[in-house]
Amino acid sequence: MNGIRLTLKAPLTARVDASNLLPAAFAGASAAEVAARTVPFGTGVALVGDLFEVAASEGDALVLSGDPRLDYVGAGLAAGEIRVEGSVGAAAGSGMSGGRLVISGDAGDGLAAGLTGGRIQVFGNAGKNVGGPRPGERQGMRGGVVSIAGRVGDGLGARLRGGLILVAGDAGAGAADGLLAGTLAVAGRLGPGAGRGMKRGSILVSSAPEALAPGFAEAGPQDFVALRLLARRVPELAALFGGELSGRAVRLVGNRLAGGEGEILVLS
Amino acid sequence: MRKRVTGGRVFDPANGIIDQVRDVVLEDGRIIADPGPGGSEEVVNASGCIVLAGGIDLHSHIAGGKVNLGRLLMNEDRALFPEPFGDFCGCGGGRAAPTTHATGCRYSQMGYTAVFEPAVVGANARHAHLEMADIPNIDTGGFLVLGNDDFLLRLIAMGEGQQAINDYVAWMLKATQSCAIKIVNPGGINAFKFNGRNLDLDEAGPFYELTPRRILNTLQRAVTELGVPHPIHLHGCNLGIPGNVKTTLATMGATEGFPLHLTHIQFHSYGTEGDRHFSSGAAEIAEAVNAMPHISVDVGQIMFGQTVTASADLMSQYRNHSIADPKKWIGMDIEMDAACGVVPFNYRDTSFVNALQWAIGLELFLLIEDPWRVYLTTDHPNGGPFTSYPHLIRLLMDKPFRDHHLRQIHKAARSHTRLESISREYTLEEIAVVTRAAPARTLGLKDRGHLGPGARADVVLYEDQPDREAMFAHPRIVMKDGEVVVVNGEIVALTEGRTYAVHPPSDPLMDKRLERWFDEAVGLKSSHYQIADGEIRGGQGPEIVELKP
Repeated sequence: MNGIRLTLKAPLTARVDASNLLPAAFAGASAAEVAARTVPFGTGVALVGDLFEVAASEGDALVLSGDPRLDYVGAGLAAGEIRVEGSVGAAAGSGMSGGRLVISGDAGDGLAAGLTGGRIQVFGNAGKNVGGPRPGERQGMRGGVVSIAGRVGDGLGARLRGGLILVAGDAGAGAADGLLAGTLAVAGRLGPGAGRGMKRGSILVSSAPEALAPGFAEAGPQDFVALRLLARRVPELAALFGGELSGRAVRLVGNRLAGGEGEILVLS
Repeated sequence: MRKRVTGGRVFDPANGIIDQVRDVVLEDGRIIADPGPGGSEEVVNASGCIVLAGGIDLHSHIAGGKVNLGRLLMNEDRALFPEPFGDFCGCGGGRAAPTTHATGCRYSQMGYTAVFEPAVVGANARHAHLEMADIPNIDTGGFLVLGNDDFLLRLIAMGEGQQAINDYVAWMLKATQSCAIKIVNPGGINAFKFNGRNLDLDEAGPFYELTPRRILNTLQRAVTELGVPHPIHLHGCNLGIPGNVKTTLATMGATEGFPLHLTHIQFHSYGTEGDRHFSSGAAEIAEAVNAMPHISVDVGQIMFGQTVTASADLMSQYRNHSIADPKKWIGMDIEMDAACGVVPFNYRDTSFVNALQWAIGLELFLLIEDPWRVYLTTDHPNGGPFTSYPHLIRLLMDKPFRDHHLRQIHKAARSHTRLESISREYTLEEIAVVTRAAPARTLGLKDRGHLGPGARADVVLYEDQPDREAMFAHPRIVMKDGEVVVVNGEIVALTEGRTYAVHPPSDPLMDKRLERWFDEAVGLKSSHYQIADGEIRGGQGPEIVELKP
């Protein structure tokens, strides 16, 4: 498979649904063939070649230039790699089941909604509802890894069911709303109202959160062997908190209004 | 401009024209008698095509509160089936719970030109009409749901005469601008409010102590005496319960000679034989329908795949909510007069029950002999989205195709159905009857469902091809009121439809009485409840269906 590079000719004037710009869809296609494909553009359609310069590129990845109006980048990706140079719009990586999506700029709202597998890496910030459910779904992200170098907006990990979300910066209000299972790690500050209706799952934070949703109880500082094992097994997680985890953490049990099998671990 | 559709094989069973090559001439939105050559006319070449009147679906949930709840609940449906992006459409979408725009476009793309919403609840009628007005390319009408409303049940329980009932029914039909009366689980929804979990035909309900049989007979008499063309449209007791074939047969026997339409009868044709205590009652039902000329049915065929069921029958929806797929549902009361349950279903051919339901529906289609008394429906969206009609038509018309699909369903279900031994294949004439002529006749629409002079110029040209599914999915041309709206299965124009209603006369004293009742018992005033003619389709007003003498 040869790589394809799509470079925007000009900033987009309307929103583009990029969900059919996938490496698998372009497999074996020449640059001219890719240019002749169509993408939803505003309320109509546009030729890929009218919006982008299409060129073959080194490697196997699909390289896209970013634009805040480019929505659904990597949505439904099952295999292969997409690299975005710049920022993307809403719903990037939505429903992705495998492969890799790397965004050098910011991501809009709804990043990694309904993710079931694969890896997403964002070097900038991300908008609201990272790893939440797609419209109509009862569960949010169910697998895969999302790592964000910057901060994220409100509603991080709502109804998360599995997988790992790593946030190096701060998280907005109302994180882990109705979280079912899976792991959130926030190296910055965790915004107010986190953990409402959280059933199970773990949230790792580096400092005591300012105002959790009602229903959490402090179970005191403890020594977790599991954390040290986790750090060895998932180096990215350890790296997020400065290279290694001591295993010492204050455990906040909750949300006890929703069963109380989850926990927030404040690492020390 | 006069249009001449020429060279096509015409199937017009209502006028006894079967497979004759002849011209159909259209002028000013009507079909006219052939004036012969001469004059300026546009010629539409129909060679290689069969020519049918516009399709009519008399039972499809396309508008109103429960449809909207279905959209709300299943908003992934629109994400999965968006309208094609492009200059023409690009808005809305969905299959099981489509938007109004998508509803009109998908129906019209299959050659349908009229669709009837079979469950308009009085309190939601205005909403239903606003939605119907928003559906392009399709004529519409609503059936008013009665039979669980307190005012009616009180009238019957207090022993008021039939005349009072008739006045109430007439008043309600006009107030809600509906064109027929539907009963959903007579007395059952009311019983559910008193914590009843089922109510059989001859079981007295709580509080009013009325049996479903009595409610049914009273309303049958009212509709007949008022001259409403369509008989009572009955969604019977015990929907979906194994063994309900007995209830259904008893209901057919309970009609006291009045005509009766039993809707989505597939869901009412279940026996309890076999080691799984679920079997087909299609043969008994079909035999009874064949023997009783005053009974008509629509099938409510289930089609495999994801859909959402929306019904006023909260009693049965409550029963089913634990098997919702995906796991979410909505149940609600409406103004204490009706109810609503929305439960998503995913019918699977690998499930014994679903596979047998599929086979039971087809058995009913094939065993009921008179096509004039069976109408093609999937009870959209309850049995499956209406977009599956072309597939269903091919299942009926093509025995090898049917057998091929039969071989793929759950093994045990296969041994519980006699489908394989039924060799009947629907002819094009029979398809024209079940999708056009028969529904028009039972609804009293004299200018629809046929191609005789005076009929609405709704004409569909299907290219004759052996794959009937492809044929009925992509008509070459669809004309609505003489205007071409679909070419080669693609929408080329959007037109506004009309809404049918009946306005039987009622005693003015009923106005006064209902004014008091609304003030006492209902959340809005009687004058606000009633829908004025000018509210229908942005001022166009309803098209009044003639009453039977």
